[in-house]
Amino acid sequence: MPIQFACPVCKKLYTVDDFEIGKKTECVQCGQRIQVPTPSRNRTVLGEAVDPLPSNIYRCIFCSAKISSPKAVPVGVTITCPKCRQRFNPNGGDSNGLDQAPIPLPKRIASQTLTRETRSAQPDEDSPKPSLEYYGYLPPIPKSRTRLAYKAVGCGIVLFSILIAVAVIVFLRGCDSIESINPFGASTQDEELLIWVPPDTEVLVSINVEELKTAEQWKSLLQGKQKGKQEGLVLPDPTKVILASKGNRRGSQEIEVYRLSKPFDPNPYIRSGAAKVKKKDGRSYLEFADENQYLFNPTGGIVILSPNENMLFEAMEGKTGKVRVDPEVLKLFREAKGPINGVGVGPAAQTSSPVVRFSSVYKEPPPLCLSQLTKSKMRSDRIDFEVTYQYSAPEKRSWRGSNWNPE
Amino acid sequence: MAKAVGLVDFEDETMYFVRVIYDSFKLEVSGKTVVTTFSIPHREAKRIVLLAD
Repeated sequence: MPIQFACPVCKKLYTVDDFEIGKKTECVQCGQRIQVPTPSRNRTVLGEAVDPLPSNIYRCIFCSAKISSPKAVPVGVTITCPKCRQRFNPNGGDSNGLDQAPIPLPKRIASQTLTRETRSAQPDEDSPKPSLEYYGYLPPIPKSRTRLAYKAVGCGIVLFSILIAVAVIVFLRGCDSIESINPFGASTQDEELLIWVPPDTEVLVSINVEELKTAEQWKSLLQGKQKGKQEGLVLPDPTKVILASKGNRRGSQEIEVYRLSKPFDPNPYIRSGAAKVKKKDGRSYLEFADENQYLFNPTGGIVILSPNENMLFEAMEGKTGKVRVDPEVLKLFREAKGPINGVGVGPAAQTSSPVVRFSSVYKEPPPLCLSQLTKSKMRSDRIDFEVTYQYSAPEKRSWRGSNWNPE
Repeated sequence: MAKAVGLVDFEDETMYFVRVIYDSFKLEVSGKTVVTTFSIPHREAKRIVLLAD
């Protein structure tokens, strides 16, 4: 708290903080040495006594009106206030029941700020307890506060409903994206079919029937495997494939081969920018933001090759296997800027050897499939076709590793 | 199906063919056999012949 004082000689005013009290200094104007004084304190003084009312003048206990009487009222006698017509005993006591009633405070006090005098005027314990509002100790809760509470509850309900709506939308969108990726629809039987159809299901998407006419080639492939010879399927254009090897050639590098056990939905990755759709030579593939990570034929090819072992996808389940890749193959894989149509894995899978499609990455080969046009009929407005695919195995569980016999 | 192959170019002629037959595409599974039926309208067949040429 600042203190003001003046130099006693030249009357120059100074203002200092209270912690400077008692400090000595020189007046900047006249050079007089002065000391910061202690401010005058609020001393206790004697209160002024007020004369009581004359003995023949009374005050109504109900309306506080002054009532003068020619004589002093005897003890026990009640009088009537001429103003409010209430009877009371001016000398106190309980001559009749009227003066036993609690003395109510004037109503205007209840709305005023409580002072020491009004606080000391609390009724005795014997008297009935007045309401809080009457004395005004606790002010009633303002309406604005209750409105605020209602607003808070309303906002909470609105936010909760918004959250529920967002969750429902996210759930439904996720379901849609999964369903849309399944070319067979949503029935369980179709999903089962999707599993054991050859993994290069681009056949079913692009209607490239030629791919399904490879039963003889598969047969020759398996015969070659039984004799310990090359493992692979000759493709029309072997320059578009990449080769890997399980052998231990010098400089070979171990890589992870991932297989998706369920249809992979690339749309979330594309939307989030984690992957980009690239296309070359009429074929599309996914290129992920991470280096050297490509996903080929994401709707059905379900093969991912990556030199990065940390590569994991949420949509990916389980089965991984390690293969060794020739250095020149790996170089080819890394330098490939366009699509890679196939991956060959096998003892004889070298750059100069025949290669296989995606399916050969599996430990067990996929079932054979024969397709033929079984019916065609010319109608007036259209041509009806019926194509039958004959598979060698009814379900995936029946063909495992070397136990699988296409015969 | 067009959504399922969302990665492919819709301008591709093959994809046009896919869309044509998708409307009538049906699939039945019994054991090891899968039978698919579809039909191609004549006007689309003419278009496909033109595309093939």
